[in-house]
Amino acid sequence: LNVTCSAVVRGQVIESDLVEFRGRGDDFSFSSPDPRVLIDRVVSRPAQLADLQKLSFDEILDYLEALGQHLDVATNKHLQLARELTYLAAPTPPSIIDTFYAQVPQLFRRDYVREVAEKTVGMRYLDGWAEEQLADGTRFSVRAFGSRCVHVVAGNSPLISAATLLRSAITRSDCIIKTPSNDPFTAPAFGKTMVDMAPDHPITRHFAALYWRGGDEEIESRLYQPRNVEKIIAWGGFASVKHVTKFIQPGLELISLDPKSSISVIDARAITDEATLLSVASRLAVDVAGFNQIGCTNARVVYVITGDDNDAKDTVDRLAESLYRAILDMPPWLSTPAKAYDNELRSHIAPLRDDDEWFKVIGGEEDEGCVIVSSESEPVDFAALLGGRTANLVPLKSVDDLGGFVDAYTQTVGVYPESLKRDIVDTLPLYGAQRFVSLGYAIHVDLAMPQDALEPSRRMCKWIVDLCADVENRTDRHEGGVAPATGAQFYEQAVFAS
Amino acid sequence: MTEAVAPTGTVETRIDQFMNEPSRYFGMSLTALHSISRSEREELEFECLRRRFEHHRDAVPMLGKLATRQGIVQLNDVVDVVPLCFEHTAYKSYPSRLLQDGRFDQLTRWLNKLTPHDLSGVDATNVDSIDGWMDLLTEKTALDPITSSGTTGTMSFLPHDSDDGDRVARSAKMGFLQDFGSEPGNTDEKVHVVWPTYGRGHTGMLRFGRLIGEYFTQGDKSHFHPLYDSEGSADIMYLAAQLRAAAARGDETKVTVSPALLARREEINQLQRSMTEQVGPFLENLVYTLEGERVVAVAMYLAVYDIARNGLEKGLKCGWASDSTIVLGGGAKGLVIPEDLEAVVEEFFGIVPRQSYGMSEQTHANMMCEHRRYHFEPGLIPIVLDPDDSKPLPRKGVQIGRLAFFDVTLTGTWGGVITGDEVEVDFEGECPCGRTTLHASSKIERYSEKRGGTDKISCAATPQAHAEAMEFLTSDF
Repeated sequence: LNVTCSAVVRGQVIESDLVEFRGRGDDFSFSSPDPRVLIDRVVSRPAQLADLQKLSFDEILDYLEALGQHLDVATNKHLQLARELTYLAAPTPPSIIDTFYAQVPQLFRRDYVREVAEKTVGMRYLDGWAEEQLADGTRFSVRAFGSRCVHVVAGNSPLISAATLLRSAITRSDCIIKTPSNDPFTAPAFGKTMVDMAPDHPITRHFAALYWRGGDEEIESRLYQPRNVEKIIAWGGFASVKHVTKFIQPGLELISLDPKSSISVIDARAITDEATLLSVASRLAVDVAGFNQIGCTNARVVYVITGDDNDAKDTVDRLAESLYRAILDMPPWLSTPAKAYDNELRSHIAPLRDDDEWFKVIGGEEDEGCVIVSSESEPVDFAALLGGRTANLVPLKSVDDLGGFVDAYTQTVGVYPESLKRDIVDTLPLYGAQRFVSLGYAIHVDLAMPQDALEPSRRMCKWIVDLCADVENRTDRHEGGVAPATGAQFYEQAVFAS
Repeated sequence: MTEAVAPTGTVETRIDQFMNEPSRYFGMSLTALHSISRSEREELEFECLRRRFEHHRDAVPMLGKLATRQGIVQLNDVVDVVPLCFEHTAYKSYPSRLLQDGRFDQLTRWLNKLTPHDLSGVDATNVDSIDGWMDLLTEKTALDPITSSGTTGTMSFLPHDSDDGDRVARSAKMGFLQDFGSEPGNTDEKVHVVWPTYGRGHTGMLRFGRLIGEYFTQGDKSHFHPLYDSEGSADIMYLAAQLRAAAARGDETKVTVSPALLARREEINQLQRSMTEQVGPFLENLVYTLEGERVVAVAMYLAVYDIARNGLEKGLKCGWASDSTIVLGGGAKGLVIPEDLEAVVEEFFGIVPRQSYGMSEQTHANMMCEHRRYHFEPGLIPIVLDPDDSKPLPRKGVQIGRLAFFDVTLTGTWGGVITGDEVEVDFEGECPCGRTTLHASSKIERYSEKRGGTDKISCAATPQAHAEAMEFLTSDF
């Protein structure tokens, strides 16, 4: 099956000079405009960003609010087509793609966009020059300018493209989305909607979405130059992030949203009755299997703290059983059996089924989801492959042992009970953990918060300073004979007094 | 072409020979082995498979559980064995902590579930190294166990026994020294063995070197020429593999080194230095000492290539007897093979290299014929699986998919394995070379590499891995 995938470049929809690309999974291919022909048109010159910077924030809100209304898949033909095609390309089944697409308009609600801008950058820096004053009286202003960014987005959710569009607009950045082969359709569909709605609007003119094969040396060495691009925002994939690093040089910055995985930590001793067990299991099921465990936020290894308590060890087994059942009970809009269960993972699990000493395996024979209980305090050595609704429960004596299992790849830590957070929130970040959530909230990602221990929107901005000496109006003139050791006065005495 | 030696004796004797002493069944003749009729082969293979299942079901605990879980009590067809085949991961299905912490008594208990031999009398509580554990098992039990080279940071343990080793050596002897279509000749001839790596060790490759070093030389140590007259340590390889895996994750701080290994640091370092000194004499030995002798050299692709290229650069050529053999095998997976490899090897050695599709999990040499097809030896039943659902593809025509096989000759463990290899097997077409056995394309790929390489840490260059581990061990940390 071969389908056509448009490119959108600065207000123009392009469907010519098609070349064929084979998507992940090999069962379908798509044709899209030859990136070699397009690549020079994709680039924006520095001065061309002037129109974007002139937009008031209200104008940006107007645009995004209107766009959000147009991005309703019930009425938007571009999105309807993209959604159909994404069914073919995506790692998730249609029921979950539908969930993602239905969420798109919510991201562009006026009050929400304003909140994201305020929390992740600060309105005062986005809407002109923010004035500041130091203790010595020095005054300066700061303004967050947009920059020219290429976004190498991940394909596990169409919402990643929507988030990218949102962040670009609020920071007044020029946005080039390099689409992934498992989601090449969504970003161009957004672009087509923008062209229909407001073809000459600066936000439309500063948006491009196109596909090229990641790692295409000819394209990337042409594009990834400081004269063309200031920042590259790379999502996921160890290989893709590693690949981009070779183009990084002064003037070209990498904002790396590295590949991550997530864990849960549960204190078994807090599970004292059946109702609690079921509630913990169903919350854990959402963290493990929500949106089919394809995201970095999903829990894969679950550490269960038991102490020396034998009942607590028993609880691990009961939790595993309940977790398995809770996974199967999830509604299809939230989770389904894997679209394609990983053969390699399956072959690692198979021998554990016939071992009753070290491992207990619940389910998985129909690829419907699976829970592996370790008896040792150590995840299975194929933990990196866990997916398709597969969790590994690992008993730990003490929460203090957790540090050894957390590193820079650990994004989210889902915690139960809430009080357990006290013991870990100030220590696990030292090992690499980046986000703590109450159990059940791992997949609840809000753009108004930092991501992967950094602030992508702030990083997308160029933080420009205007220092104003303003000698006459300074109120803190230094009285007396002792020269200050720092600050503007020290500088003035050293440089200008002579 | 000579007449295949017709096996004699009762049906029972024939079956017993086919599954336990296949080389005797075929009168030690490669020609006879590859001339067996299809019906005879299929009949024997299925009967042997059935018998192995009946015995191993009760004797190999892991198989017994699997069969119970699958509800399989008897086999009515060859493909009925597919749900009972072990994943290749079965041989590393222990919790990795056991190996990291050196809990060899518990590892022995784990291994006991994979073999019909009784290991319960083995006391491994005081063992402090993998090498020590392997030695203990070899000494106290019927096992001659094999370790993997630990590609991905974990190590597999295959409980093969010494009879399995005997079959490996005899199959290789036929495949390496005989030509299809000719008489076997004097099968007790003493032949020199050139082995350009460690002379001993427990990986599939190193154990193979030790075996042919015994069997091809008729036990004459002066005819065995390993590059390194020392043991390739499984502990060092495990450490090297862990380091590589850790480096790939970007975090080497979590690799732990056992006190036993630390204590051997200086010894190993010494060994490493003397190894470097051995390379030169080894090459000279090749070219001058063995002039005119019949030699078998078996090695990994790149090792042979390096030796040949170094020789040619110095203007040297090897003058072995013309019936000598170079066998290339193992270690090609995951490596880029130089295009001129066969030409360079042939020019230096004066011999056309032979290739085989050997895997540690079975005992057969499976040589490549002049039409570049690997021929499965009778007793090794290839089954091609749909790579997506692991269901057997029809045993007719040409099939491409994941290779599973059942080796009816294995006595140390269950013979059914699902590999990670993609193969193309021709179940019907006769190979133009004249062999009657089933044959596969020479293009064999690992699914894990095809998939985009989550597993690209290659282990094949053992000495190189050794060097990396040494660097780590001897550095200050």
